[in-house]
Amino acid sequence: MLLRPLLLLFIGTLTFGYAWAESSPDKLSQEPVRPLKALVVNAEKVALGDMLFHETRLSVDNSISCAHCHVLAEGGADGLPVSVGVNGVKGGMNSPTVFNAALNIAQFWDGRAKTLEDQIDGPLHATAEMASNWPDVIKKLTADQVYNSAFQKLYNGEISEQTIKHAIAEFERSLITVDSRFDQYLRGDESAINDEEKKGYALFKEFGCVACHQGENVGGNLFQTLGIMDDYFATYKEIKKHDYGRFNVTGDIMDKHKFKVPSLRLVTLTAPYFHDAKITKLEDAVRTMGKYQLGMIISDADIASIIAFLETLPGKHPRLEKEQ
Amino acid sequence: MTGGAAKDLVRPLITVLCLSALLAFVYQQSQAIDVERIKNAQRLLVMIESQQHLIERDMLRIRNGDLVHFDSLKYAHREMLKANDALLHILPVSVLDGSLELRKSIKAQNLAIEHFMADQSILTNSLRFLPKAIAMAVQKAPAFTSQLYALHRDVLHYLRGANPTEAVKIQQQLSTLSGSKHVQRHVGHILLRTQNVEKAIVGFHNADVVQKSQQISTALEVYLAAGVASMHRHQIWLIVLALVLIIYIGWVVWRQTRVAHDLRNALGLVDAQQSALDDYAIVTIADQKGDITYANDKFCEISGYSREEVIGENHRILNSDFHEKSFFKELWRTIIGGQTWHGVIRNRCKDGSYYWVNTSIVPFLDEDGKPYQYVSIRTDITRAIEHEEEERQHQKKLEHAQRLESLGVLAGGIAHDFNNLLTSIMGNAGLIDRTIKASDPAKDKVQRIIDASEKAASLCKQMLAYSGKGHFIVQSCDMSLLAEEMMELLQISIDKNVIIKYELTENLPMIDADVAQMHQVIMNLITNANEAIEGNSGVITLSTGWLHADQAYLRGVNSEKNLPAGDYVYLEVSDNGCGMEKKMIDKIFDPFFTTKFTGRGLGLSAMLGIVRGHQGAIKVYSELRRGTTFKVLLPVSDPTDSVVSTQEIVRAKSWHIENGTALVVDDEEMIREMASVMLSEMGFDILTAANGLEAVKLYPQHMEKIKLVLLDMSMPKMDGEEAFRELRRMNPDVCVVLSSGYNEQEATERFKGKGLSGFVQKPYLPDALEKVVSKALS
Repeated sequence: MLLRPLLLLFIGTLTFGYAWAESSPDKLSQEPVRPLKALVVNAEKVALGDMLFHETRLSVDNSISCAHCHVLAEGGADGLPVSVGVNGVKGGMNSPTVFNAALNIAQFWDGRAKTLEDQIDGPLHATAEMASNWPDVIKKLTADQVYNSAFQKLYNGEISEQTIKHAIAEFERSLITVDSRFDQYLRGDESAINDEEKKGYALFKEFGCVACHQGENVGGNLFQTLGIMDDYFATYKEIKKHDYGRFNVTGDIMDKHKFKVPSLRLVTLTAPYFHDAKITKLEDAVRTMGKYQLGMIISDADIASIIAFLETLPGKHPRLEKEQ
Repeated sequence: MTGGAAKDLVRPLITVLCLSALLAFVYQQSQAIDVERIKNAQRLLVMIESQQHLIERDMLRIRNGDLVHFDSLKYAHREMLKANDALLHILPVSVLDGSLELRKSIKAQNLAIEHFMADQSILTNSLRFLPKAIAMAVQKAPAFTSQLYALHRDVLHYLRGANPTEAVKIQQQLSTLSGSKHVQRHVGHILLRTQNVEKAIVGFHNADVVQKSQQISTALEVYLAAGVASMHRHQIWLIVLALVLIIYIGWVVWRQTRVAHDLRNALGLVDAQQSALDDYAIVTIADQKGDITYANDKFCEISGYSREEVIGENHRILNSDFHEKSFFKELWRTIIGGQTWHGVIRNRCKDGSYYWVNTSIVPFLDEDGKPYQYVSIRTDITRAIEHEEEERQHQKKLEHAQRLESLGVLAGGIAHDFNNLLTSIMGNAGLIDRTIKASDPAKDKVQRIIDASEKAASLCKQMLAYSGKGHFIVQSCDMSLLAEEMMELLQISIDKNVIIKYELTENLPMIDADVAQMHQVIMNLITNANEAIEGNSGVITLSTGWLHADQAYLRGVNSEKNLPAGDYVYLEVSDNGCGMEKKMIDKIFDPFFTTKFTGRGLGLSAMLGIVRGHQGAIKVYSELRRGTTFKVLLPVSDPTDSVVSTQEIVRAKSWHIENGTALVVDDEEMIREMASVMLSEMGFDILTAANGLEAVKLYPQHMEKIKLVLLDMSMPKMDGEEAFRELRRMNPDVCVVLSSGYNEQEATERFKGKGLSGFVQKPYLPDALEKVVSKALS
C-alpha cells in the first residue's frame, strides 16, 4: 500500500532532483552537496506525531519520551555522550539528531532500521531507553480521549503499532531544516556565504571529506569504515559489539567497523561526536576524521575554515532553536 | 406427528443449506484471484527492473566521475529494500517460493551497492591524493623518482583495465618502495578499492535481477491466467450450482404445492365427510374425564343445548335416569380399555324431554395406547323407538281385539244355536197359544213360556249385540232427544241420594243408530254410574255434544278398528263415585267380567258391541276415589249414506194364501218343522230342503207351484247365498225370504240389489213371519 506513493516519491524526487540539477547554473549542479527540500507530509498527522514524539507514556514509567533524547530545541539530540533512559539507565551509543534523519539511507549507526518507523521499535523496547511495549503503550493511549479522537479522525480510530509509528515518522519527516545559507549559495546566491566559508567548502572538497559527506544530507547515505587510513580502534581498551557496526547487520567481514556516515547538516549543534561520543569538540572531530579517514594532518587554520563552512549548513525549522 | 413434520422440513432445509454453502464456497473460490494484487506485483517487478538499469548506470557514472554524490544510489538502495519486502507480501504463495532467488539477489545487490559506495569514495580520495603523494615522495627521496613515476604510470595503467597481473606487479613495486607511507597507503587502497568496486559492479550485474524478475513476472502471468481460468471454471460451477439450487428449490416447491393440493383435496374430502357425518349423526368429543370438548350442530339441534352451554360440561348432563349405574360403569370400562362401545342410550334434552340415540363411542389412543379423547357418534332413533312402542301398544290392542272377537264368535255361535232352539220353543209356544182359549188354565203357562222365551231371546240378542251381530233397526236420531226421552226412566233407575245433571246440547247433528240399542246403552251407563257411587250421595252428569275427533284423539279409544277422523256426536256419563284403577279400565269391557255381585258381566261388553256396531267408540277416564267418565262417540250421519231401515213391526191382520207351495230351506229339523207348521197355517203347501243343494235340486221340479222360498243363511253343502243365486238363475222372479239369527243389515247386505223379497230375524213369532211373507208376496 505504501509502495505506490513511495515509488512516486522516489521517481518524483529523482526526476525533480535531476531536472532541478540540470536547470540550475552549471557550476552548482555539479556540486557534491545538494540543497535540502522539505518532504511532503500530512500536517494533521504531523501534529499528532508531534504529540506522540513528546509523549512520555511511550516509556514504561511514563518518564521518557522521544524528545528526551532527541531534544528538538537543541538540534534534535541530547548533547550527552550517551543518552539516559528510564531509571537513569545509560544507553550505549551517541544519539544522533532527529532532524533530517528522514533523508538517511537507514537508521541507527549500523543501519539496522530501514525506515523511520522501524527505528521507533528500538528505543521503545530498549531497557536502557523507554523499556516499554506496544500493548501497554496502546492501552495508555487508548485511555486518553485526546488520542482517541485524533486517531479517530486520522487513522479511522485505529490506535495500533502501525498507526502510532506512522504518526511519529510523519512528524520526523517534517523535521527538514531547509534553506540554510549554504543551500541558498547552492541555489545561486553567491552572497549567502562569505569567503571564509567558501574557502572552508573548497578545503572540505579538496581534502576529500566530501567523498563521504556528500549529497543533500552532507552524508547519511552510505556506510563507511571508521579507520580507513589508520586503525581507529587501536587505542580502545575494549571493543564492544556495537563497535563492529554494519557487520552486526550484514555479517559480511568487509563490513566490520563500518558505520553509517552521519549527516553534517546540524553537526555544529550536536556535540559530542562519533558513535562512541569520544570527541566533544568539533575541531577534534575534524582532526580525527582527517587522521583516520584521510590520512592527513589538517592545520588549525584549515580546521577553522572548514568549521566556518560547517556553520553554514544548519537550515531553518520552527522547532529548531539554538542559542549561538 | 411433529417428528415427521420436522423431518420433512429438515431434509430439504439441510439440502438447501448444503447447496448454499457449496455455492458460497465456489463463489469465494471464484473471487480468490485478486487481479489487482497481481497487477500491483507486476508493477513492482517492472519498477525493480527499471531500477536495475538506473543503479547500474549511476554506479558507472560515479565510477567515471560523472556523478559526484550517492543520493540516487541511496534512494535506489532504499527502494530495493522496500521492494524486496513488498514482494514478500504481494506475491501469491505459489509464486512466492519461486521469488526466493530474486529476493536473495536483490539483497545481494543492496550489499553490493553499499560496498560500492564505501569503496568508491575511498578510491576517489586515494586517486586524488596519489599525485600529491608521489610528488611528496619524489621530493623526499629523489633517488626513487623513476620508480615512483613508473609506479604512478603503472597504477594509472592498471586503472584502465584492472588487470590482476598488473596489480601483482604494482604490489611488487610497492614492496621495493618502502619509504613513502602515503604512497604505500594510497596505492594499496587504489588496488584494493578498484578491485572491490569492480567486484561490486560485476556482482550487481551478475545478480541478474532483471531476468529473475521477468521469470517471476512470467510466473505471475501464468498464475494470473490459471487464476482467471480457475475463476471462470468456478463461475461456471457457480452458475451450475445456482441452477441446481434453483431447480431443487423449484422441485421442492412443486412437490410442496402438489402435497398442498393433495392435502387440500384430502381436507376437502374430510370436510365433506365431516359435514355428511355432522348432517347424519350427532357427534361429540370428550376428554379423558368425559368433559365435552366439541359438539357438532346436530347435537345442539337435538339436545337443545347451545355449543357454549355444553363445552366444558360433562356428558352427565344428558343423563335421563333411564339406565342403571352398572350400564355406565360397563360403558366406561369398555372405552377406558381402548375398545369402542356400541349401544342405545336414552338422553335428556335441555327442556327435559327425552331422545334415544344409537351410540358408538370411539376412544382415540395416544402413543402409549391410552385414551386421550373419546369421540361419540350417535344417531337419533327416538322415532324408531316410539314407533316400536306404538307398535307394541297397537299389537296389544290388536291381540285384545282379537281375543274379544274370538269371544264374540263364541258368544255369537252359542247365541245362534240358542236362537234356533228358542225359535222352536217360542214358535211352538206361540202356536199353542193360538190354539188355546183364553179360559184355558194352560194359557197362563203358555204365556209364561213365551215370556221366558222372549227374555231368553233378549239375552241372546244381548250376546249377539256384544258380538256385534245383533239386529239393528237403524234410523236417524238426535242423541239429546233420545236422552231426554229417558229422563223419567233413568230417574227411577238410580238411588235416592244420586242426582243426574243433564247437559244436553241442542240441535245435535243426527246419528244413524238403533234407538232401542241407544236406550240400552244409556241405561247401562247410568246404572253403572249409579252403582259406582255405592249408595253415597253423588252426582251423575249426562251430557251430549259433538266434536271433531282427530287421529290422535281416536288413537286412545276403544273401538273395532281405527276410526276415521271426523265429526262425532258424544254421549258422556260422569260420576263422582269410586273410580277405577287403570288396570281395571282395560278389563271392564271383557265379557263376563264384573265387579258386581249379581252381574253376568255382559253389560259393558254388550254396550261396546253396540257402539262398535254403530262405527263408534268408547273412551273411559277414571280416577280411583274421584270418579269415572264414559264417553261414547258416534259418527255423525252422512246424509248421502243410504240406510237400510225396516219399518216398525206392525201387527197386521192374519194373512192367508189360497194356493201355493212354500219351500222351507233350513239345516235344523226343528226349524223346518216349526216353519212348515206356521206356513201351512197360512195356507201353503210345504216342501222342505235340508240345505241349499237339496233346495236347488228340488226347486226346478216344482217351480210353478212354489210361490215362496224361506231360505236359511248358514247351511252346509250350499249356503243361503249360493242357493239364492242358483234359484234366481232358475227363476229371476223367485220370491225368497231370508231367515237368519244374525244382524239383518249384515245378512241382507250380501243380497242387496239381488231381488231379495224379505228378511225375518230368528227367532220369530208366527206373526212376524206372517207379516214378512205377506209383504213379500204382495
